[in-house]
Amino acid sequence: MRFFLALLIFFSSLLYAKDDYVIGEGYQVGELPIYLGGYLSLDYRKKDEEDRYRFDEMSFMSYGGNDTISYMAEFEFEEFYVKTQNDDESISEHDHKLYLERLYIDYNMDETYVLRMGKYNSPIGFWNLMPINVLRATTSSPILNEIIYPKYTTGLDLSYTTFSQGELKLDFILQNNTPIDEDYNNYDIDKHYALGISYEEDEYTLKLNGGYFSKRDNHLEVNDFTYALISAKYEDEKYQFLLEAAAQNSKDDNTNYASYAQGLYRFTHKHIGVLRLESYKDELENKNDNIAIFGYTYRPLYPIALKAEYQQHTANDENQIIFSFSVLF
Amino acid sequence: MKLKVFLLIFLNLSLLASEYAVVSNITLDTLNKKQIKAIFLKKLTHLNGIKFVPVNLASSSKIRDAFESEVLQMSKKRLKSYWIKRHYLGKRPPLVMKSQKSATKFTQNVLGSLTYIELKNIDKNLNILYRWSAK
Repeated sequence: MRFFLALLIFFSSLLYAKDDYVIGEGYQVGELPIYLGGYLSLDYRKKDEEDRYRFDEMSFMSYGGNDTISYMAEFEFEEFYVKTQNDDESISEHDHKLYLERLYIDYNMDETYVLRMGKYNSPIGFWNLMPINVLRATTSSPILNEIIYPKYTTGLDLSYTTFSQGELKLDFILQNNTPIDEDYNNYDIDKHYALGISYEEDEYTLKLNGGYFSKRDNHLEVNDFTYALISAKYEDEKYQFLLEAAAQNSKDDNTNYASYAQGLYRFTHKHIGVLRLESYKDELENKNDNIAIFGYTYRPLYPIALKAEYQQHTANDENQIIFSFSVLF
Repeated sequence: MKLKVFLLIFLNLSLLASEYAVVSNITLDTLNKKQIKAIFLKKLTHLNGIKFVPVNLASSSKIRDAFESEVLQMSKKRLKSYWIKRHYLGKRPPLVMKSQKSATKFTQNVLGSLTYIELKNIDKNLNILYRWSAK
């Protein structure tokens, strides 16, 4: 019911959209400084003994404002429908909860400082800044983005940006409160203190992040974690190279490591090939794996992506093929 | 003889080249090409207390093609993907004006605005921040 109500509200507002709409760039509501958009993603995964069909993401977002104050609101249905099949059974699952993915206000204090308040994507590394299927290089995300740091923070982010020959940006992340929509995060946290520094010049970007966070579950023995991440990127018209390496340490000296190196080649702007090599060790979950991912993306238009990938794992029974269709509107 | 032919060809090519300029109603001696690029990508929004308002010409404009090639150094496809990613982050591309005349008028009247036009069309009220020539 909520799903259809959300669709009704969203598409009703499009009646007031300006008529120069371009897919992937959002709708402007009349002449107001308010924009609407969203995205969706469907995927199919084949493992040795299991098939999975999934309506994964259906998101609606709105943003806008003026030079001083702006906002972003995003609501999402995640894993709206999942059907899993193996030799013995077929299971269908639904999740009709509308999650709050992002909700924040930006206050431009002056030329260099911006204060963000609310729930936002933690500005850590590269992958976490573009976490939606249609904008990613592959349907799957690196394990690093799941096990090292909280993907979302509810609190403050003070950023300082200066520009001369390149862009230097500092981020101060602060959460010391209960989260907004704790179900929609990889860690249910009530504390997150972190610092990020990035420098971008021409085709090169280098980032360093480090921080501390605390999980809310008091039944667990281990609640406190620190992490550090180094990221580097090169990108031009044809190539993109990404390298990220991270470590997470918990109070009882369990250490997680994760890293990946990814190369992307644009045969044309519609046809893109990807190779990603990943490695991780998760001592808390007693898991480790090395993964080679071969991906291909076809974009008839940039905001529409048809993707295929093959994953070769050293861990048993994890090899898989994934196909997906995703759109940003 | 060879020298004369060479000079003649060079002269003809020079005459074919068009000259362009990035102009504004503000004076900023220190603005370099990288900073102008950052302004049109909306990465650099303020400087010395001035808020920038970049103004693009229509996407079919040859002058815009020359600007994107010389200053932004990005292809149209790459720019398109850049602004689609920015849409997810809640950022919008610059304003678009259909003609040099309307872009010039807007730039004359709005403090901090910048646009790019042919050098021959520059009004005396506008300051040149960067100039280049292209065939």
